[in-house]
Amino acid sequence: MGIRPLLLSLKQNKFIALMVILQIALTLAAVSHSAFSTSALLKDWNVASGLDEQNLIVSRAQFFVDNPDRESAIVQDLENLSRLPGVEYVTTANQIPFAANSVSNVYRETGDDAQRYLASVFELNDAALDVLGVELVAGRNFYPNEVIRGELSATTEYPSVVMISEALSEEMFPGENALGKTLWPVKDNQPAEIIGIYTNYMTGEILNGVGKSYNSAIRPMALWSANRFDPGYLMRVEPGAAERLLEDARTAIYRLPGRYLYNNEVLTRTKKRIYDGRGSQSMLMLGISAVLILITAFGIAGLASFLVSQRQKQIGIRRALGATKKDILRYFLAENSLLTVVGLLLGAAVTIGIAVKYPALTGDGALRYDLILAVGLFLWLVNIIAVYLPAKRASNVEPAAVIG
Amino acid sequence: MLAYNLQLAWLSLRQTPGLSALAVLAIAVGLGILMTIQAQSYQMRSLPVGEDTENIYLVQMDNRDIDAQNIEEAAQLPSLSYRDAINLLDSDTPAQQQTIVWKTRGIVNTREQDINPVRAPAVVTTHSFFSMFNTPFLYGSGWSEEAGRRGDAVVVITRRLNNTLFGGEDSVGRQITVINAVATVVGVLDEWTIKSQFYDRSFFRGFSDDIFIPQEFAASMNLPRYTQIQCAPAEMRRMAAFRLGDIQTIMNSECGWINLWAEFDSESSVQDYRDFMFRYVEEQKALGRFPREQNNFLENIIEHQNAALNRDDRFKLYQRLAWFFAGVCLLNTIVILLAKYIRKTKEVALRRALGAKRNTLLGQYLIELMVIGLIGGFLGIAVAYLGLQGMLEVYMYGTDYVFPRSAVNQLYSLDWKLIQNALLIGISSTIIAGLYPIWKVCNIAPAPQLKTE
Amino acid sequence: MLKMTGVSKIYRTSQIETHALNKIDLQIEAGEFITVTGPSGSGKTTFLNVAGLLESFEEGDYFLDGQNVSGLNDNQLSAIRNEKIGFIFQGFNLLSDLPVFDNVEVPLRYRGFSASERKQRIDNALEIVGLTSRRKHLPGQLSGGQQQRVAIARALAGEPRFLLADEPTGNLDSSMAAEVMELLEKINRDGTTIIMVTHDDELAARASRNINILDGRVLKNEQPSHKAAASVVDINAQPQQEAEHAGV
Repeated sequence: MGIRPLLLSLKQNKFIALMVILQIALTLAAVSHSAFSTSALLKDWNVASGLDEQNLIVSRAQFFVDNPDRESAIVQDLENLSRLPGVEYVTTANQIPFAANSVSNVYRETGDDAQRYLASVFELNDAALDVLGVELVAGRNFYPNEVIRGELSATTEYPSVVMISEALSEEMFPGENALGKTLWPVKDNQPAEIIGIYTNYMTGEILNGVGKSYNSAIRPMALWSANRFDPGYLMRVEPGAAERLLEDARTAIYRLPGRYLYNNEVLTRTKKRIYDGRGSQSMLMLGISAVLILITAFGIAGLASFLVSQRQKQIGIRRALGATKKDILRYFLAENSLLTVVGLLLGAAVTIGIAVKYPALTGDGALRYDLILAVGLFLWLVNIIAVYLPAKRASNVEPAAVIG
Repeated sequence: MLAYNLQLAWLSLRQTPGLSALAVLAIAVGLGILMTIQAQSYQMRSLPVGEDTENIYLVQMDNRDIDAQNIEEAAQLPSLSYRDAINLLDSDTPAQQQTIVWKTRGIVNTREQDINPVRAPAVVTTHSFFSMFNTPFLYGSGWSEEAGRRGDAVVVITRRLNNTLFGGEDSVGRQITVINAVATVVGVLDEWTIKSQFYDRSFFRGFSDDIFIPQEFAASMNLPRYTQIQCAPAEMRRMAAFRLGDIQTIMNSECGWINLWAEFDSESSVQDYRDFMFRYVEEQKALGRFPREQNNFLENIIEHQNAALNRDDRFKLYQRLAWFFAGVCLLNTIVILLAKYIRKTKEVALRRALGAKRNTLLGQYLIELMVIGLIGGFLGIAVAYLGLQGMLEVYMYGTDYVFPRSAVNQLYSLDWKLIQNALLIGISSTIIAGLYPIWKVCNIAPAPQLKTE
Repeated sequence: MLKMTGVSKIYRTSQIETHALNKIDLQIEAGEFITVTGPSGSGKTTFLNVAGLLESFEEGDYFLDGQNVSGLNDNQLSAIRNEKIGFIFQGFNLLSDLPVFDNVEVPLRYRGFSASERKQRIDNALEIVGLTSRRKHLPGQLSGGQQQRVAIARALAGEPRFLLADEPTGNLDSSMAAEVMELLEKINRDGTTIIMVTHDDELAARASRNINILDGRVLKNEQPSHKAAASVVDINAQPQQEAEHAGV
């Protein structure tokens, strides 16, 4: 079927055609902008954690009494916690996966122009890999005697060994074997030898936000500072025991008086927290966009249905002149697609115009042609579906009933 | 005639039930989305705390260095230095009452063995805080002016903290430890709903802090200053000392960290206070302080709140999108109404042939549009209600349920004014959407339409 | 050519059964000009719709051009309508959105002709009805007679075997009606079989055969009396002269 009869017919319904085009154009623009910001929000959203977070518990407490014996507290806590039935491994932890919001620069060399590599440095003990449940892909684990404990300001000797994640290894030593290489966890400070490379696990929101979710290093140490921070505890528990063990962990921590437990949860909860803000915002955007597309589809369906009833006679004539049902169906779908395509082209122009002129409107996102195309195709598909039923009704018009 | 027109309108609606329903739906969804966003904006822009607080102003004076950047908005200017805040607080000013606010936080403990300590944020303030912001009391009351001056070891706690620490009992007279300070509870606030933490200018959404500590007592106990501190660039390296060191260090500095709120009983006293501020700064200039040109602000609590809202880019994005979406729905309505009225071409021609005046028909269709708009408006309110509930759920989820529902509920609620607005917008936008269609159908020449084709 | 045996069309509602067509037996040969007459509601339009494959029928056999059409599906029926049958209606039934040229083109597009073939056929058809100069006009810009001539051109363009006309002059004043009637007779002389429903006895008398329908039955099936003896040549000669007169 040619396009000429469609155009001629639309020429007689200019206002309706214009409105449909505008509506599709605006819908495309609005939904595309939601899509830009949603895709930015959902970048690296809920990527593989590399952990069994449902079997990991964190308990973090802070002393509020003056000058407690923190060193013996740590020894006692580790003993108390690992003795809990169901707890398999325990480590001290300066920060935990999913909430590692202390991000540092690490280096392969000294000097002012040394290349910086972003990573979360975890300070854990020799049970680190067992607790996290990540695999050692190369090298060896820490020895217990390599773990350094002490008050922050009193500590002068730092661990001489470090393990890094595969991701960090690939970024820092592309194409090389990182084992045995030297890493400076703090600029121009004491270096450490890389003795192990382990499989990736999620660090936290900050690195996730810059696409480096898995850049981490583990140092065998536990530091504390009076009135500032105490190390927390990260535990691996038997499958299914996590929820039950939260209360036991709380009791165990509170066995030593004079401190306050401020964080006691299964890591699934911690994981939820890094994604839920972005997730909820995206949900809103998607929800509103879905409603909008639905409304546009309803409008298009209503309009098509109107055009069908207005053209009953025309359809009858065409049928009498030899049009098959398929011809009629195709006519309405083609007419709608013609308007949709023009609307989408206009909408794409508007979308690009707005994105270029008011970048703030796209939220955190940026102009993305592939998204415009995807939204456009989706809208087109939705419109086809919206038009299908009225068009089907049109094709069932009995010619004898409407003409003569 | 009205009854006849209404009847005709109803008949006409029922003639094209599908298209009428679609028009109503388009109006309802567009309006619903718009109202969902507007309701939040409206609720956020209303007074952050209770009634009778519209006459409360934040006092700001620019005591910064001569080479600091010019500031033209109150929201950008730091809070007062301790010296200026206390000078003004202790002066005989045109204000009815004044109070100061800064924040601290730490571990709170009781003497009870079986109650675990909690970490709580706290407000350091003066006795007048409670009367200025009309806080409701469940047990006891705030501390007296004298107790405040003496530095008595007293605190007021919220009902929430009282539930945690004392199981909801009347705890007046019992003792708690805030960080290192042991203090007696003199009052327990009842449920105090505020839209945001306005008192420290943060305007964080949610509920109030849990503990209220008198200024003199807090200073004597050297409680840490976990509050916004703004200093000259050269002073920034002493930030740790300002926060955690001897409180005298920050009290003697020119850093801004104390929020001074003043309540007035008339517009003229606000003006008097401005003059008073001017004189005060002149005096201080004579003493060698305030090197810059005078730049004082005395702005209402609402204006500060709105400035904070305007900084919220995410909300601005929602608002823009909401208008965009409402626009699409309006276009949709136009198209649907056009389809609806073009169907009536024959009927209009017939009525015109039977002697109906164009204006009569226009009137009849206008009434029909109003009915559609009204129904769309009501449905839109329902959509907005659902939308707000949805946004509330999403917000609760997005903030990991740290706020109790009751604390944020109000931001996601509708009131009569909003409902009235919704109906007005619903009706007026339907009429706007329908103007072209009904004008078009009423201007069709009757004759050709009546001829059989 | 067209043969119906015992064709019945029944409209059923929950209470009553109406025989719109009741056991029609009929045979029409190529080149005939048949008029169908009868009072309103007698079933003549139903007969035309069934003959034109626009409506189905319940009983009997209908052979069109030697083909039994009773068992055909919708697509096959559409194809037969498109190729073998041309329709002319009382209400013209032009597509009001399309100009004359495109209206005539509609059946040709469904037939799948190439653009050049379509153009040639449209030009031909428009020339026959004398509307070549109006090809770009919309139907609303033409008089009733012109519109009916466009409809005839559209029916002719596909070179159908049959032309089915339902009161083609019913909406026209007498001079336009005469024009259209002469055109139809000319087309018939050129070899197209025409079946025309009319309530106008005068027009009925001009046909080669008249079928009178009442209550769904064929009441009379005869040649008009004054033409009974006339030869085919005679029948055709007369209108041609009239046409020449009218042209003066």
